[in-house]
Amino acid sequence: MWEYQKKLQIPINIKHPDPKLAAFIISQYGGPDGELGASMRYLSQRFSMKDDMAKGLLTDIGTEELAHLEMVGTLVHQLTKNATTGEIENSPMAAYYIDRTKGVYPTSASGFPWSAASMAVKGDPIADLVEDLAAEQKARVTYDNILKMCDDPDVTQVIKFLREREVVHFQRFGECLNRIQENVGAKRVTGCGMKDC
Amino acid sequence: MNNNMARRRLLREIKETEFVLKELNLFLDTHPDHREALEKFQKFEQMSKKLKSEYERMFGPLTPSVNNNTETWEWIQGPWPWENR
Repeated sequence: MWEYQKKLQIPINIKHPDPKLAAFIISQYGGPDGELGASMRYLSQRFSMKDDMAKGLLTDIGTEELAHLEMVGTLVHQLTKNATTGEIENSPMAAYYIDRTKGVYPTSASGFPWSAASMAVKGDPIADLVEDLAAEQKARVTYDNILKMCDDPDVTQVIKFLREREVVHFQRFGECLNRIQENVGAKRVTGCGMKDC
Repeated sequence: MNNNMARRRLLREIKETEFVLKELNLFLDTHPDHREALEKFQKFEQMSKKLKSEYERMFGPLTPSVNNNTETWEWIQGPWPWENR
């Protein structure tokens, strides 16, 4: 089970409202490569993992992604809290505001509400870990795209931190996958769906 | 009593204690000045701490923030909660 800690992984203190940025950053809350999908993907894939290392790593990264979800929500909240209706009206956040006001809702920047169709659970350790490697890279690209459109240092330092965590997760998933593939080669793993297992 | 039975018994006591704490937690969220509930919370919190440290000493960590072993990272060792063992 989980227990909430009343703190963010790093501090977030945005000084200048920017509804345009909020409308972009919301994609990492509920978009196809966002933190909600990441946590659901990893925490769901754990059940069919055979290997204790994979179970532990997916638990821990899935948990960290929940913390990142809260950080992305914090960015969206702080970027919109003091924005005037006029500023919002003349920004890409206008349509979002009509539907959600200043609430934080899991949706992509292009307006699609969060969908489980943006994540996968195949029930096969190798297929799922390869999916996770791609997912981390896609999240990294999304953060890169946000950084191209952002020049507020209060925001960029948080986005850079979150981007870096994707790179670390990619590394750890790669190490875990290598270990599982070595075990498949040595026929120490069963039920992975390969003929020789 | 075998080791796994002892583990499951202690884990059950922790679950019961923590469930009481969760109930008190939610009750206190909406009754923040309720003296009796505040006292009960303290009492069960102490019980829970004692039970959890006993469990972790005997059977390994309940959270990754606890690792008493200097040789290996016991956190990843099963059984995991979803495994019927």
